[in-house]
Formats: sequence, structure tokens, C-alpha cells
Amino acid sequence: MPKPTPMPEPRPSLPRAADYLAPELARRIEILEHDGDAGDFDSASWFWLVLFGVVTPAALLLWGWWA
Amino acid sequence: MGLVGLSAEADTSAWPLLPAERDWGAWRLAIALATAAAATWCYIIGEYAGYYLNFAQGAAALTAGCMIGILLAFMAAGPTCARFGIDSVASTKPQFGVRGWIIPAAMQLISIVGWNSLLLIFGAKSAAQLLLALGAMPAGYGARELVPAATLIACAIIYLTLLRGATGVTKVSNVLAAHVPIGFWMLYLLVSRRWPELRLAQPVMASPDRLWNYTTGVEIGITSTMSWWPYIGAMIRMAPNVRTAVVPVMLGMGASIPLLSLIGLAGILVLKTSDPAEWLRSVGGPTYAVIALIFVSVANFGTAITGIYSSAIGLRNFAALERVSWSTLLLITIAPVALVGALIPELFFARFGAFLAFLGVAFAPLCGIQIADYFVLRARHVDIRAIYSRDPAAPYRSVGGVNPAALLALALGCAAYLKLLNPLTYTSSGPYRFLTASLPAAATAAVCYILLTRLLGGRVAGARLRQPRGPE
Repeated sequence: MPKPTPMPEPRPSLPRAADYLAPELARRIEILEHDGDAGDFDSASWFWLVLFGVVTPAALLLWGWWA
Repeated sequence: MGLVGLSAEADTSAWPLLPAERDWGAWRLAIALATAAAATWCYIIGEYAGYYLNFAQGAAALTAGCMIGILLAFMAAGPTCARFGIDSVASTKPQFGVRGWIIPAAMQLISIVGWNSLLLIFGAKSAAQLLLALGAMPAGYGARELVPAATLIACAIIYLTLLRGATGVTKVSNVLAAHVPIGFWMLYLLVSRRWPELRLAQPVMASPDRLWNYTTGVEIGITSTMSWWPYIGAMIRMAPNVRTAVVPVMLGMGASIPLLSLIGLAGILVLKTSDPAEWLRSVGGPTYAVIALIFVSVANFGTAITGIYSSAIGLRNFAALERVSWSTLLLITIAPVALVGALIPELFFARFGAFLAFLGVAFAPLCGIQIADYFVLRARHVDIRAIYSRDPAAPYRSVGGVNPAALLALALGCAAYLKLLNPLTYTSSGPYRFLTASLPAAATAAVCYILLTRLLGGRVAGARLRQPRGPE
């Protein structure tokens, strides 16, 4: 399956006059843009998601149908 | 455990939380989610499944449906909310635009106000019945007279609790979490004492089509838990990352809801009522009835606190409410619930079916759009500055702040749901009996969103294709 092409996002830039943000909000965004992104799912996350969200429901449905 | 690093300003705003402020570990998150999930609606969810399925099939279908629904709601809002510490409504800005997010916000508001009105009215009824059972009611007064006053008192307590923001949610969760095991004890009581009847009990509204009944049980589970989309974002923004939230969300919420729904399922099948306050009296006598009434009151109270908090944080995204004090915002959030509970509690109960129908139709397409946007179109890249930017050239500005691709996809997803299932009458058509209605609605919205975005171009859809992406 081909890897999906991401829609490009703009490079983070300093706020312009029209883009005024409250100072505290701007500070938070600045921190998050540089090193605050907590990251995405890892392989263990996907394992648990598939186990609890797909495998377990499928097994329950099969069991329940014949119960 | 306290929210040491969380400033009061961030705690009560829709601003993103910084990593140092997100200190809810897996256990605390699981307890908070389970406490929030365990409420009266579980009995109603179980009751609806019990109209079509016996106990074993109902348990399997409901649990499977709930876990599928939670998976979709979590994958829709979870990654963005947990990565940047934002709430579910803010996470819709990349899809709907910096003005179009008002549509998901309205859906959230209606959902939370509806659920919390139900919970507080139900809790008030239980409290009134408890007072009657204890003989503490003045002569001539009944539950009907007490419900408005009890609802207003509950609203006042919630208001005072939430003045401390998420800290209030944490403290209440830690205390009220004890009611979850009590719920399981009630289930054990019914199953152990009435097992022969329960095993043989047949649903009263079952269709001759066994597959249709089974699919409807799954659909009820999916619909109910997908409407937890607002709560998921509000809670997991407190977790340090999305990885910490996976198991707590899938088990704390995805498993506790169906397990407690079995109380309603078993009750409606054996005793023809899903309310444990009623059936525990016949199973265990007045002492058990009092325990059940306390349980119902406490369970609803914990969930309503989380709901009001989630709703208030969602309202913060409105520019007009960005700067109002937290106490004023809380009043604005609680007021509709208090008015419904005080003025039209019986009418609201009578119209509850229409409310459930709205949830099913609205949230499945929304989840489909968010999943398609995050995992397919944006390949997991989100611009946190663009979410809050008011710059007319901001990436998520789209067309006048509204993304037409998302609106069209939402409408088509809703249409797909209604084509497959009328949620008011439960008359179905097409492949509903094989696919449910929520899953095709989510898939339709997702596919339409991707196609429309490609058709209209990334600029319209809210991403500037002409600009290269910066380094990670």
C-alpha cells in the first residue's frame, strides 16, 4: 500500500500583527512548536489499540453469535 | 497527587497545556475516565440492547460495539488532543477551519447539555426516592416535587467543585471512583441470584431476523461511546502523551461502560426495569435499594462534573468567551442544564429518544472526518499555531474560515447514516444488518472528505500546498 502523501504544513513563524495572540498563549505555542509535541502512537500503542479495539470486539462478536 | 505544574489560567482555558502541566499518569487517567463513564446512561444503554437481545448476546454485542466506538472516538480526537494538550473542539480546527469548528462545538454542547440534564434529573429523582425511603421527606411531598430543587442543588455543588478547574475533577474522581466497584457488585448480585431466569429471558422487541438484532446491539454500543468524543479530549489533554492514554481510554472507558451497561441489560430482561434503584429492592430488600439510590446519585454526580468541565473548556474556544472569568463561564455552562432540570424534567425524559438519535447521526461522520484528516491527508502533521491563529492567511483558514470539504463530508456522512437506519423508529434498509449504520457513516464521511479535499485543493481544505513543510 503506497504511503500517503502528507499535506504540507507551513514552517512555524513569528506571529504577525494580524495574527495577534495573547502573550501567554503565544508563549505556550512557541514552546510546543519547538519541543512540546508529545509525540504520536508508538508500536506498543498500536498493539493495544488493535487488541482492544479490533481483536477483542471481533472475538466477542464471534462468541456472542454462537452463545 | 495534585496538579502542581498546572497554572489556574491553563486549567480553565482552551489553551494548549505544556508538557510539564500534563501530569496525569495511566492510573489516574483510567480512574477519571471510569468515574466519568459510569453513570445512569449505562443502564439506559443496557436497557435498549435488552429490547432486542438476550443476556449473552447483548453482553457480547454491547461490549464489542462500545470498544469499537471508543476506538474510533479516540483515534479521531485523541492524537491531536494528547500531543498538544488541547480539547476535542480545538482539535477540529484543522478539518473544519478556524470558524467552521463552531459546528462540532455546537454538537458537543448539545451532547453534553443533554447527557448532563439526563444525569442530574435522574440523580435528583434517585435522591428524592432515597429521602422517601429513609422517611426524611415531609408529608405530602413526592419525588416529582423534589426533582427541580434537587437538580438545582446538584448544579450548585458542581459549580462550587469546578471553581477549582480540573483540580476539582481530579479530587472528585479520586473519591467517587469507589462507586464503580459498587456497580459491579450490583451486577454480581443480580446475575448470581437470578441466573436461571436471566439465562432464559427473551427480549420483548426482538426482530425475527437474528442478525438484525445482533447488529442493533453493536450499533447501540458504537453510538453511545462515540458520543464520548468531547470527554475524551478534555480528559486526555491532561496525560503527558497519547501513548499513556491508550490503555486507560480503551479499558477505563471502553470496558467500564459496557460492563456497567450489563446492569441495565440484566434488569430489563429479568425484572423489566433497568433502574437498579427499583430492581435492587425486589432482589435484596430496602437496604440494597438505599445502596443503589446512593450509587446512582453519586455516579451521576461524578460524570456530570466531568461533563460540565469539558463543556466549559469547549466554550472557551469562542472569542466572546475567551476572556470571561472561569466562574462566569461555569455559570453559562451550567445554566441550560439547571433550566432543563428545574423547568422541564419530565418533558426532557419523554424526548430522550430523539436526543440519542442525534448522537448517533452526528458523531460517527465527525470521527470519520478527523481520522481521515489526521492519518491520511495530513499524515499526522498538525500545526498548533494555525489552530489558534486569527491571521486571514493562516493555514486552517480555508474559505472564510470554513472548510467546505468537511461540511459536505459531514452532511453526506449524516445522510448515509439516515439512509441505513432511522434512529427514531429503528427501521433499517440496505446493508445495515451486516455493517451497522455508524461504521458506514464514518467511512462515507472519511472517503468523501478525502475526495473533496483532493478535488477542491489543499488551499481550500486548509493546508497550503505551495509552501514546503519545515523540518520536524
